[in-house]
Amino acid sequence: MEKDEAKMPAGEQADVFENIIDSADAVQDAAAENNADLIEEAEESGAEEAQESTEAENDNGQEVPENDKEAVLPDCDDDVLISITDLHKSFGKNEVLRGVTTQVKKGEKVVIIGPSGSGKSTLLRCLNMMETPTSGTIVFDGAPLDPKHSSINLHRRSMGMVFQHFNLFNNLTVVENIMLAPVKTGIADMKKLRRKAFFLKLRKVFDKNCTEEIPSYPSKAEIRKKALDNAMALLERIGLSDKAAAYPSTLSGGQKQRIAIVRALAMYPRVMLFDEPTSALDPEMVGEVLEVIKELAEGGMTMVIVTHEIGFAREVATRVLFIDEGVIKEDAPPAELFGAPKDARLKEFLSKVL
Amino acid sequence: MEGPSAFEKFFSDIGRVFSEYNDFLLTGLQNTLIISVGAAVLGLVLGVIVAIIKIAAVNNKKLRIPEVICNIYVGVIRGTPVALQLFIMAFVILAIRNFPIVITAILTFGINSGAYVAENLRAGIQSVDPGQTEAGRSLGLSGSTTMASVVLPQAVKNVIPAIGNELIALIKETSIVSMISIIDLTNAAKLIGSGNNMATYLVPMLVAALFYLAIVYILTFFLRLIEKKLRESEQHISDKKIAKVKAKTERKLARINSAYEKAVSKRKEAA
Ligand SMILES: Nc1ncnc2c1ncn2[C@@H]1O[C@H](COP(=O)(O)OP(=O)(O)OP(=O)(O)O)[C@@H](O)[C@H]1O
Ligand SMILES: [Mg+2]
Repeated sequence: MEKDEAKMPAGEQADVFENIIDSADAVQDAAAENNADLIEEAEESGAEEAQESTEAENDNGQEVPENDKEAVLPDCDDDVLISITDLHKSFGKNEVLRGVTTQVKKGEKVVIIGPSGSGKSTLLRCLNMMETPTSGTIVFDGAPLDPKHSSINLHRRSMGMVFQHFNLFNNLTVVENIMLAPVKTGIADMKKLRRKAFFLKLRKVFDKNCTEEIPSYPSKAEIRKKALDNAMALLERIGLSDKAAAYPSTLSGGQKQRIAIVRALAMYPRVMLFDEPTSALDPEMVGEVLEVIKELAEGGMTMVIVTHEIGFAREVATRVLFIDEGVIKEDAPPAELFGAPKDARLKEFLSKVL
Repeated sequence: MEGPSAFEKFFSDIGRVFSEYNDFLLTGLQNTLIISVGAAVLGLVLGVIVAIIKIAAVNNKKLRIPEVICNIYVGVIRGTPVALQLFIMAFVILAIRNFPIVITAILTFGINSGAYVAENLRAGIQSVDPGQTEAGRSLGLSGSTTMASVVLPQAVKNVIPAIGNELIALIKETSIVSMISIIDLTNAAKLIGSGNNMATYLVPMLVAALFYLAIVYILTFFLRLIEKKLRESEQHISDKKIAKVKAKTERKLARINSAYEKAVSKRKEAA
């Protein structure tokens, strides 16, 4: 059964994925707009706190330059989706990242390679703040990420992450795995809108001049139905709809990882982060997972991929970063980086893995 | 033929205990059950709250003070005998005139059992793969949603056996309430037998033992049932199980569809 899907002509599957992305575009735009609203709101409430802390510092007699934050931000290029500036991360005394600066443009497929323990996973995990940087900034879609602020949850919705060990929710069936986040976040957003609508209605009772429009919001039934339909469509596309009602423990590694990928896609992310998505797989299953990632790449998704699959990197990457000792040692298109490596450590690394 | 007659006497004694003292026994049984169930519910609620506070405090500095309180609570309760806790509650803290003494017992055993449940549950939560939390958070779910929808269900599955043991121990521990003059099963048996000679003392005790056994058996039966249900998602499940899960999931999905259709038709009607 699964063999058949894996052997499905690549072109056909690619179409299928482009379709996902096409049909997703509209929803994604809507989702992005909605997220933007929510983030704005979250940041407004956060801004007050920030103001307070600024004042506190002023009380201490320290000078706080007004445009401090903006000075740190690099030039805002419309094409840039993620911008990493002087990122440092230490675990205790162990300094893992020692100043990483780079940008990920929309539609780029950045592959990260490097020896074990060089900080590849740490860098990737800093991108969505699963790991809190010691210093440095990450600007995602024009907004600096702050792990302590509630807006981080909204940003994370737009950053899909795929883990080496799949991390499917063991207590939920496949379809529930995919639906959980869209339903939970959808209902949370709906409740916010409902509250807003309620207070607006109340205000309109007393204030006849209030012209603000009462927001409409979906019902729970609609949210669930939409999530279900989308989940089934995604499963169909990776050829696993017959596994919808199975628990993850009954699936093969390759199936789990493909489901983990569509689980992330169900949130209509703007970027996908992969941390060695095929390292925990039996060799015969690596192909089916890489195939899914490739088609996603062809569909135009922005991606950051940590991998040891050099052949795959050559094929999909638009840019390869070689990380060693916590810094980017080389940053070049794959043909150049693999064809004519400059860095001595990179040469040594490539001679080992190729 | 002395044997059979001794046997006969024994069984007729049991019959006598049941018929003559059934009021007494039933009161005892009732009190044992009330105290056990009340304490179990209180213990589970307290245990869940304390365990979650302790886990959440790991990455949240604001919870430092609640965490310290929880640590003291668990430490003191686990470090002192429950009999002493019962005395202190009955004769010091809740020594209020006309305060129902059964409630005192429920509170004591509930607070006591909460500490043990909390420790079991905390260990259970920590035994859940951190990757599960990471996956939830990476999708944009909040910490509490991830905890409620992903981590706790898995933790509960892991700790059901330990919590079951705790509940069984609790039921038997309630037998010390005779020290504050509550008539529970054990105390009833003692009172029925008192004044008679040693041999007749035995019969009510055995009857009480049978009651305890029955309660624990029934509880064990239900715990097994829950455990089996929760293990649905585990590896190596049979084809029959897979079909069952499939049917159940399909029913769930069908409910989502029908709820949606209902909502749509309602909206049409309104329009
Ligand atoms: N949570 C943590 N606590 C302490 N040290 C950590 C933690 N996570 C990573 N490290 C350390 O940081 C270093 C870099 O780890 P990282 O996982 O980023 O490496 P990597 O490049 O992904 O390696 P690999 O190819 O083996 O996955 C390692 O020395 C590791 O021990
Ligand atoms: Mg790694």
